[in-house]
Amino acid sequence: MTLLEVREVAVRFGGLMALQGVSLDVAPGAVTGLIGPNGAGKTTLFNTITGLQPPSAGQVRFEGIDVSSMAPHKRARLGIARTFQRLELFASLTVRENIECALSMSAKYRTRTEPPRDATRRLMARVGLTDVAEVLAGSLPTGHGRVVELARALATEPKVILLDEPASGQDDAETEHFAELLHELANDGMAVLLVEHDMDLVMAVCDQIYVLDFGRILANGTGDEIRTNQAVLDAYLGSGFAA
Amino acid sequence: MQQFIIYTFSGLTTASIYAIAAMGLVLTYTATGVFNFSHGAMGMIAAFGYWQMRFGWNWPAPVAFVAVVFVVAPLFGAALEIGIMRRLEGTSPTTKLVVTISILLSLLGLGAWVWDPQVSRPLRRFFEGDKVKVLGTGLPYHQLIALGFAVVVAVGLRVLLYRSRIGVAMRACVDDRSLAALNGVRPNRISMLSWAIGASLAALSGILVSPTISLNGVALTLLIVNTYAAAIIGRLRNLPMTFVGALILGLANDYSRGYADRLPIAVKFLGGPLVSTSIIVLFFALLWLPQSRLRGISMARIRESSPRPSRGGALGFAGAVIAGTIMVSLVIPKTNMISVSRTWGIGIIALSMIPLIGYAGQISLCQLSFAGIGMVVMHHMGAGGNPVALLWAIGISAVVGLIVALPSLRLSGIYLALSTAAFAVLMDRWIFQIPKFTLFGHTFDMFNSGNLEIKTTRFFGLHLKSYRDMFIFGSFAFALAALCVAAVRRSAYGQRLIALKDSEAACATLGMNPKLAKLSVFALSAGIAGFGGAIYGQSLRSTGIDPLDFLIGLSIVMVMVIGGLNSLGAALFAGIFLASPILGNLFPHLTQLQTVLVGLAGIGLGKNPNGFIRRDIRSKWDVMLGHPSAMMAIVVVEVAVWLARINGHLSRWHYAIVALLVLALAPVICAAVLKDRTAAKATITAPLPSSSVDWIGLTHPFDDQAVASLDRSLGLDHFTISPSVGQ
Repeated sequence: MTLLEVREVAVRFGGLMALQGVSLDVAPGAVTGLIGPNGAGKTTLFNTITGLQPPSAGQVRFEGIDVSSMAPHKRARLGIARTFQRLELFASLTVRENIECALSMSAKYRTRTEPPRDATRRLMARVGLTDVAEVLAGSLPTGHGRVVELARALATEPKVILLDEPASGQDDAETEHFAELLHELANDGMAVLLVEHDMDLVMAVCDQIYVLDFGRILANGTGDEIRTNQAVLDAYLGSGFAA
Repeated sequence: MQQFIIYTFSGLTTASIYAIAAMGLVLTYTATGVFNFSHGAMGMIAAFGYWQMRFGWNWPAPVAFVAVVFVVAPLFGAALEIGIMRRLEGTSPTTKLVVTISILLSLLGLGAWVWDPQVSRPLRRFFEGDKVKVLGTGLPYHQLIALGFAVVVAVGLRVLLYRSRIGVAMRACVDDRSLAALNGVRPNRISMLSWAIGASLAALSGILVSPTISLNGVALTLLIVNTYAAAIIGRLRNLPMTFVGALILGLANDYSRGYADRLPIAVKFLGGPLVSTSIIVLFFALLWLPQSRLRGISMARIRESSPRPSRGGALGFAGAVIAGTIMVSLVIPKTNMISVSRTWGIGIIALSMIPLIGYAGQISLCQLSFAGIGMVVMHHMGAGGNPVALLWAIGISAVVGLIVALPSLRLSGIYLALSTAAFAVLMDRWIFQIPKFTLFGHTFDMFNSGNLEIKTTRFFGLHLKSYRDMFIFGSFAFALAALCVAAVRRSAYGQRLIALKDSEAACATLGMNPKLAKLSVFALSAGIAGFGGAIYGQSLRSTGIDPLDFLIGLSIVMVMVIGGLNSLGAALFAGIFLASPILGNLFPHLTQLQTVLVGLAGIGLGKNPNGFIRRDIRSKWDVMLGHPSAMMAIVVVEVAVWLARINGHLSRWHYAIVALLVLALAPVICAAVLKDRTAAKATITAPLPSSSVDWIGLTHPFDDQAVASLDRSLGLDHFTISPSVGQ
């Protein structure tokens, strides 16, 4: 059973094919990894899934519904949330307000029984932002900004969360804490699609990994399968290396 | 046919002048990212300067021409860049825009100050009277010269930008200033050069155009609107397309002007085709622009913030406004009451900018037009002081706000500013001036043939007869509007508006509909502005089109940005400053100086994008606001001084000076008294949770204690931060 299906998606920027025939499946209750060299099209794929970038061809399906031509906010209301590689924080609001804001934007705002104040506090405690609740988000260091984006995305109670290099800018202890958090999310039944360059993290948390290179899916499989896949090794290390 | 040829040639001349101006605009925009609203004003000053040299001092034409276009104008442009534009790195598009608006208004004020507008200054064409025969028509040399310059400038700029090192460096600077600097380009020098060339082209176009439209500051400055249209057709980047745009515009302008004379109805209802063609072209050019992508502004660049007012603070502000107004109303002489009573109308119009421009980041230059709609509604519905007319004013303005917002949804930043500016000019030069007409048996006379009569509102048997009554009533209206704006900021809706300004992309991916939010905030703000217009109109009682002039709208925006677009205090300041007769009374000869002064203040914005209210006034008062006893003391002293004035112990001026001194000195005294106590408090809260070493410098000050705890956690030898470290 897949929650989010990408089918044969292509994105063309002028003469450049940023994505070409990309298909992938994201299952609930699991962490799916998406790796690939810089410029492979990972962020473009995220933009296509969330609706910021209309695809030139292909389909994005969520819970069986074709959402390819749906506006970004409608997709978010169905349960797709994301973080950004280049931070898109609400810089002139405090950390607390960032999360309150996300709560009030989400589809579940009216039906939620927990008061927004408590929900904000719970989310901040969960990701470890309580100490900086009143700091302006724009003055945070990048690593902590990523945590705010994560908390903001979680505030919408998504069914699938797309994380764009969430661990870059974080130290080892924070990354470890973050890995635990990912496991928790997956255990709660959420689907996680993770773009990350930290291979240890990817191998540790991902149940399924897709490798993207020059806009095409090069391989997919479990961590061990990817580690020994010749095509992946060629792409990452140049041809001629054996596992 | 003969006439067609004449119009074609004159249209081509107009087009050449537009092209020169528009290409200068595009050049500064592409090279520095600043859209220069004052481009027309620079051309205006240059034209006046040329007149001074040529006819005032009787210099030979070529000398005066070279001196203005090749020496003074480029130096002026370079000086602007060094003195002002360079400091604008890292400020929002609104701030950048308002700084150039400030320059525009300063130059206008300066021009009117130096060259008295009452004196006629005929500016002769080059080689007046000399003509060549082309296609059976006499073609004046002046037109040939304009055409020649346009071609030379177009070819020259093309070569400069695409064939020279400097041009490549210019284009690199636009894409990424710091990256270009790393590659050996000197961005400052490039910006300076482009401002110099831009100013020179503005001067050239100003000198060429002024013989055809008479040497008039405002007319010359507003000619820039036509130029915007050409620049927008070139999407502010593309020089050849800009040239084509100028051609379309120039020809359309002269054909319509030439042939409209044959249709008296068109002359009557199109309010002078000069305005309508360029605005219509600008409108379609903006519609033709591609949708701006959902995108956040790169966050590191923003230096602006909008703190949330507390409920008590907002109520206190509203209360202080009302109480202060009542006190002041009893000491201000009747003669000044007329202008002072306008404070609140202007103040509310200024308030309307806070949610729209301050919070949501949607630059609108047409708030005064919404206010004008409020006035018109009051005129028609408010007969006999019917208070329901106020609600109609709010409602109808809000609906017009929605209509204006609809085409603007696709636009953002400078394009939005231009489309709202186009709307404002359209309203004040055309719609408000449409004469009475009859359609399907119903007579429409929207602006009452240029003179609106606005009755003051009657409430529960209360009738506002005098200007003093209106002044006090206005303060209630202002307080109400201010509370409304504070409530918006405190609500989840207000947070979402700020979020929208910070990152549209993030808003959309969190489930918010950005378009709906934009529409709603436009309607809200237009409603507030319409309410402001209704109040403003009542204090004017009867008004022509003048108070709704586009340039006055610009000065409200400017004063608002100087005060701080997120601050209620700034709206209060805008109202007081723009309505107050003080400067005019003290220095009757220097009324122009007021414009120049405000302009200069606006120019200082680069250093202080949050406005002076927050930086210079709130920061000082913050200490006091936390101490009810200190606030009480001020109130008591102010009331005492006021009573002294009422009972005749103080003269008017002494009262004003003492009352202001108390307000100015109170925070200083209070800070001195409370210093020891707050310092003691600070040391108590200092202990650092050992887990939060990361947050040093964010939640805790970076002091010796913080360093010590860092050292402990890293196992380092202890050292202290002391001045000697740096030596």
